[in-house]
Amino acid sequence: MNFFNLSPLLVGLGLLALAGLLFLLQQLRIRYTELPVATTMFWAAAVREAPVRVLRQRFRHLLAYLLTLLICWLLWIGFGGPLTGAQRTAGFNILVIDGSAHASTGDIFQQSKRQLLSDVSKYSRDSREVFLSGAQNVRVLAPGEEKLVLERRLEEFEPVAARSSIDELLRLLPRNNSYPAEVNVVVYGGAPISRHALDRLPDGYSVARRFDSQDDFENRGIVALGIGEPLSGEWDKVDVLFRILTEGLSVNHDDIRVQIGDQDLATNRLESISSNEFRVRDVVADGSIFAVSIEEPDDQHFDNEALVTLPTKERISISLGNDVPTPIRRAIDADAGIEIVGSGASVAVLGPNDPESSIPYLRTTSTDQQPKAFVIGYSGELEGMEALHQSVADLGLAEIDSAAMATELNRDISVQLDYSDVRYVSVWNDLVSESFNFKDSLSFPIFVSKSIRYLADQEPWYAYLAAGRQPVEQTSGSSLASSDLFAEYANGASYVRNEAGTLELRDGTSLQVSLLDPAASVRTGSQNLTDAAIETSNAQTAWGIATWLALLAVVLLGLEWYLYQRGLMP
Amino acid sequence: MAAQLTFEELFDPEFLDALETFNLRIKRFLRQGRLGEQLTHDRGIGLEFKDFKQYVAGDDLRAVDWNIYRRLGRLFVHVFEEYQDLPLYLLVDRSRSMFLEEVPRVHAALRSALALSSISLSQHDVVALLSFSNELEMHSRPIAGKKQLTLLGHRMVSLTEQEGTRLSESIHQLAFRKLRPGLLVVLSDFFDPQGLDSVTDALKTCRHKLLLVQLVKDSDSDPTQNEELVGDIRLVDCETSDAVDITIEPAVLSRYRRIYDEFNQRLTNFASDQGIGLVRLNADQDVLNQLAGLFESGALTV
Repeated sequence: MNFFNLSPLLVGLGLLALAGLLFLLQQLRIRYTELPVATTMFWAAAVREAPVRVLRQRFRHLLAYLLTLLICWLLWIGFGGPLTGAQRTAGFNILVIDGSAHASTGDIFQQSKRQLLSDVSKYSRDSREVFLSGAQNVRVLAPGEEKLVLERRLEEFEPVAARSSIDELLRLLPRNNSYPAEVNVVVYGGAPISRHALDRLPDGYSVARRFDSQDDFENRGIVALGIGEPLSGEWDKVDVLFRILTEGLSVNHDDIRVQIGDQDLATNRLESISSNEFRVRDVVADGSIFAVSIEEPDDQHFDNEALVTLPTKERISISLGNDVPTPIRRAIDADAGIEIVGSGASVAVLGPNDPESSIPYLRTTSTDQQPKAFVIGYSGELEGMEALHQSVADLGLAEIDSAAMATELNRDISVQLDYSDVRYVSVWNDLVSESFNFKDSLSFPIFVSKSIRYLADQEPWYAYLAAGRQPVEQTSGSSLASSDLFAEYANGASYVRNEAGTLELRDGTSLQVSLLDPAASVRTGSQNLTDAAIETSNAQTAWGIATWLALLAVVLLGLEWYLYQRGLMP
Repeated sequence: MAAQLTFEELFDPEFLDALETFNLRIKRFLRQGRLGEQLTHDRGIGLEFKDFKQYVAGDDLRAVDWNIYRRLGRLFVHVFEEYQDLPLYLLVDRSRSMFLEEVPRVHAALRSALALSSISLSQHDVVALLSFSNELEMHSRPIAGKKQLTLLGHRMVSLTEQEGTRLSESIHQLAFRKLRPGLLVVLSDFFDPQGLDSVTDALKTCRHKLLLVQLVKDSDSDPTQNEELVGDIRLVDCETSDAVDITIEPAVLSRYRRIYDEFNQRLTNFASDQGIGLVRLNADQDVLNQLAGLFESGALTV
């Protein structure tokens, strides 16, 4: 009912202005047109019986003035809607409407929007700010802006297939130095807020939820979709896994549709790992799109389909020197992703006595020629320890039992990084010889495989692209078992993209990003993180007060009219 | 201010001709006048026998009834009805209120004064012209003869607008002038700022017979006829410059009419109680027609 919202100071100033305005109006009424007459005797007598209002003389109609003033004040207060009680805080109010996938259920977003528009005018314009938390956190109403602006801006927004970014907003808010010490955050919608995000808010910040999600939520959604090296070991294929969570509904094979490129997958190729986890084995890694969808409708439609771009796997061509140690040769032979060519190789594998190569190479050398066990020729852009750590990880050296090696050789096992125009990996010949037990460890073929792929500098492929999550890069040798497919990532990390869809890379290729947000698909589990710390704000009180004040003013207006008709009012 | 009357406008021959048949009579007249047409209480030397009275020294021996003396041996003299002239004092209000408005009240006042002058002069009475505003002024001493009407007319049109209305003081000033008792005709709107009571109190002390000619206008009793009198206005008294702020609304108009009616009623009651003649002339209407109504039987008796 109220048109706008003012601070108590402005409301008080308005009351004074009304009193002054009415006084001025009474002044204006006595600025008469002068008319000469033969005598004023009779008029003066008539006026003495019923005097008119006069300026700067005795105020003859104080009660009428007070009644009028009271009516105006009540209307002013009623329509001004001053903030009262809990609404009027000394701090700043940040209203956040959830526009993520959580708000796509039913008409939650529309209800949240209506509630927000109703509540926003109850805060003074200078002490509130409104954000829409969708794929990004967008400020839709700056301090001082009118409510009409918010209405118009919100018309452009609908919920998007993105995980909630409220946590990110809560992380960023304290960095804004323009906010006062006390900040009240009110969330409209049922998007979860992590305990971690709440705990790290500084003192003075409070978070409340104004409008929650619906209770009768029924859904089944794809919450994970990932790619891994095939268990079959075929070099040009991958295994694809996905997980479906349900709430109030069940899922079976018949409800699931899988497409690879334009082709539907035969149902017999879909394996159930558990009641809600499925796998498709030996999918050809040809760069096509792997799509999983659930046919039957439910309350959340954004999670009914998930897509992932399959990698394009190519064999690495290498040239072998004449003096390559036998254990390395065996490891290369066992790697289906590597082929030995006579010419045109991208990587050279050399023994201690083989000549230098102009292409990236893996070579063995004697302990006399190389003080360190592993020397990495690095041509990347990283510097210092960062480059060293990245290279060690890429080569799988972290998985090597270096302590056992050192004991066996009675020498320190260490890694050296040299900057070079040509990539290379140089390792002591003794470590990879037939007489040393490194060749028998599980990490040896991984080292060889990863080293060759490191030297070939193959583009990584992404095992898992979820909206708002870090990408999981796969290069070689790792399987689904070792990939962190279902891991939860910490908030605040750099997001690949917060909204599901197609991700265009700078090299022109594109990748598919899916929602894959368990919190958006099922309400159980995610609620425990958030609701305990959230209290419901009560912004309804002042509306009632304003309404009653306005009604009282209308009644007094009726009284004034009655008195005027009876001749009791001037 | 309205245009002043010119002599030609005032001295209208048709207007004067129409007055030929009118007479002005007084019920009881006072002594000391010249012979004229007004019947007095004096028993004098007229033609019509009235009574006898015992002779006293100084009586005219020509009036002794010698037949009675022969029969009774006592001296009685004839007493005759005596007709004397009537001094007519025209007291014209020349305050600003008489000159205000489109048709000023002074026009009707002067025409009335001229009419009364004409009637009086034609019946051998004497006429004096006086005016008042803040002070009393005499413009013409009592003069007789019908030829003097022109002189009076010129004097009348020369009456210009003065300031306020102080009728009560003017009456008092008139008492100090040694004027022969006569008929004092007061031509005024009687809008004396000192109030009607002060006017009536002063008139009570006057030793002349009185004829009050009240000049009124239609808008006096019905202010709504004044088209400018609407809304919120400040009424300024043309004489005193006193201002009254007022909002024209039915309740105020009603109160005004009641107060104005009370004013007129008080003046009427005063005249009635004191045996004073009161004529109410509407300045917005033709004076001759109104006078014809007053002189309906040919004579106006005061």
